Amino acid sequence: MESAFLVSILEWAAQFQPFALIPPAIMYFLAALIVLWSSHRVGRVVMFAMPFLTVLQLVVMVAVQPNVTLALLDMSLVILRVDALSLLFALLFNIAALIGVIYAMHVRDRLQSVSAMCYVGSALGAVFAGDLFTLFIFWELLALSSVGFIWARRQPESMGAGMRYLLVQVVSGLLLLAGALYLYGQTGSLLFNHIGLDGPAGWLILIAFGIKCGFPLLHGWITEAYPAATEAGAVFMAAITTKVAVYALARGFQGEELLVYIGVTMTCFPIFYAVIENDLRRVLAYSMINQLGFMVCGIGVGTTLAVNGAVAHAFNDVIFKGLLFMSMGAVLMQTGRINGSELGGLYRTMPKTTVLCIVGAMSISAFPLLSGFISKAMIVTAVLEEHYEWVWLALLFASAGVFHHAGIKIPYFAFFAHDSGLRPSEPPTNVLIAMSIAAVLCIGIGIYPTLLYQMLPFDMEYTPYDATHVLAQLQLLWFSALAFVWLNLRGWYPPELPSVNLDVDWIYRKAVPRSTAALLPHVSKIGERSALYIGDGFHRIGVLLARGLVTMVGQSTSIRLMAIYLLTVLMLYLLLDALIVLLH
Amino acid sequence: MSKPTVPAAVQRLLYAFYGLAACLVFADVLIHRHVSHPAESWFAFYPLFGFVACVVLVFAATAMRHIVMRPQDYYDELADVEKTRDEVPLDSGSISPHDEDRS
Repeated sequence: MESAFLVSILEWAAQFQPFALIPPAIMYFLAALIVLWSSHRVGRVVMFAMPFLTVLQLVVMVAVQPNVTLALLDMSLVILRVDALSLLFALLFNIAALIGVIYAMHVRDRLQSVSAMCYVGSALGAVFAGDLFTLFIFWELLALSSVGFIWARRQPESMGAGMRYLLVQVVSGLLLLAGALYLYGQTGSLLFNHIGLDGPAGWLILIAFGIKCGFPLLHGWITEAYPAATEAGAVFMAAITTKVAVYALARGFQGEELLVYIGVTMTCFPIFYAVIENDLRRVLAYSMINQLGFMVCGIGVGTTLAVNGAVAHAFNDVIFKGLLFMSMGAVLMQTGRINGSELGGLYRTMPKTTVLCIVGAMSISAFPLLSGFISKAMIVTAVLEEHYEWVWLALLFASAGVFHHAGIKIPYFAFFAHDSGLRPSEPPTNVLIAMSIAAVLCIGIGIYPTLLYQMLPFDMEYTPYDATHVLAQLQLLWFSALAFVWLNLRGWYPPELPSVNLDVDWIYRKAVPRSTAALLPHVSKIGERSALYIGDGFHRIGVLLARGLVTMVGQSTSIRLMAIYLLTVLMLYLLLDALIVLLH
Repeated sequence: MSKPTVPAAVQRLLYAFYGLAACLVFADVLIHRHVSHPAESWFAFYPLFGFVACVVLVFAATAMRHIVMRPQDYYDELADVEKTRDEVPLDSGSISPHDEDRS
């Protein structure tokens, strides 16, 4: 009955074939143009309509399975490659876009609106890209369009944070391009399928994906950019950039064992930071790395169950992490504060936000009957099936830890804990609606998992709700909570303190700028000294150069430093490019 | 760090919470979990693991504060630029070929 209904829908949809040939990215870019030039009211309608229009388009795509190829010079670029994996992510990004647009409905800021449309468009372009060059273009557009969310905050530190974010993302794109060209030199093909780690090309592309996915030591941008973005911007960014990277990893590096170990590191180290972090949106950023770790691990294991689990977890994560970012955004919106040390007791006047936040918190902690439970269990089961015993134990540790910092800490310190005396009202209705949609999805997927699981890329047999899994998970979570209660009652739980914690971003935000600032005057003095011996004319040039150097790098903020870093990478890339040309 | 006082209503909730925790451990006796790893078959493996993992996590993170914690304004960029500007005097313009023994 149900399948006959589906078939008839698809037959009906097939007659709109030309509609499926327009890349959704182009549609979103057109929407961005309309939003840019029209009134706010028209812009809002267009933004709201876009996800629905695109989902209709996806239905037609399922019916006709289009493959759009474009010839550029002697390369053929696959603009639209439609399969189960790309369709699922496209659907996901449209759901995220709808939730994000509703959440931001009350915001009158053209910069954010245009950014949002371009950003979602770029994400759709990236997941439908069938070759690495097209992927590269949308990869960079993702970076360019999303930086608007950080700059739109319009705080003194936004400019710097945005610039650093942009530079990291652009570097990721350049590495991708370098890898793609290298691969093209080797194989003569740019098609984006399984890449693997057989040659330098694979490594370059893996690092490019790894930057966007927040691999350990490359994760600094996640914890810096998300807390720096606007309330709505963080919701969009949390949903998309890293998930595009997960998609790309699933496509290109499925079954690479290295990813299992990278993934498990990503699940474990951020939870320590999350426990002591004060900025609650940064806690969520750390928790995002932790969740990405589960996905990366699943992709690394590479079995049907594992990859399905990773993809399903990406889907669920967008919804529940979105819900958590939305609730913390609502707190920031209504109180102007986001540090745990300044919040507390908000449940009195924000009960709806509190309940919705708790739904998100329970989902991310993988409580039975909520969305995170099944996808996380799939990954953990697959890891154990492949006999990664230590990895399994580490994932259990991370599961307990995620409940501790995201499941309990976020709602507890924002809405309960000590009374901060703040009495903010509930956020605007549209914000509550957006959060409710996400909460309903969390519960809906949890109770009726088939909704999502029939769309997964591989066929599989998996029974999510058996007594063993449910009991084990409940025991694990309940006793994690017990630990929290016990530590709190003893007064041993680390209090929220106004502070920052050093992480990798310290290297380019503090260490290197400071040491160059300390070193360069001496270097330039040597320049000046030597200039003394080379006649008056040369001397002037020397001084000029030395001073220029001091001005440029000596007082370098991290932005300038990263600009120099970027230039170096660019030069490396050009060198590599020249090598490839020479070799062929 | 002093022990926080607990209101009566919260205390009742906590008793319910402890009761459920005890039930969950007891369920281990009643429900036979099919296991894939030998460790899983130990009595109360998951409750113990969850509790110990979180206590270790919190103690380790608290210890980490001694190394990584800095004041709130540590990365204050504007202050950073100002300071660096002071450290590198750009207007020390009297560099000429004739004052060789400067510094």
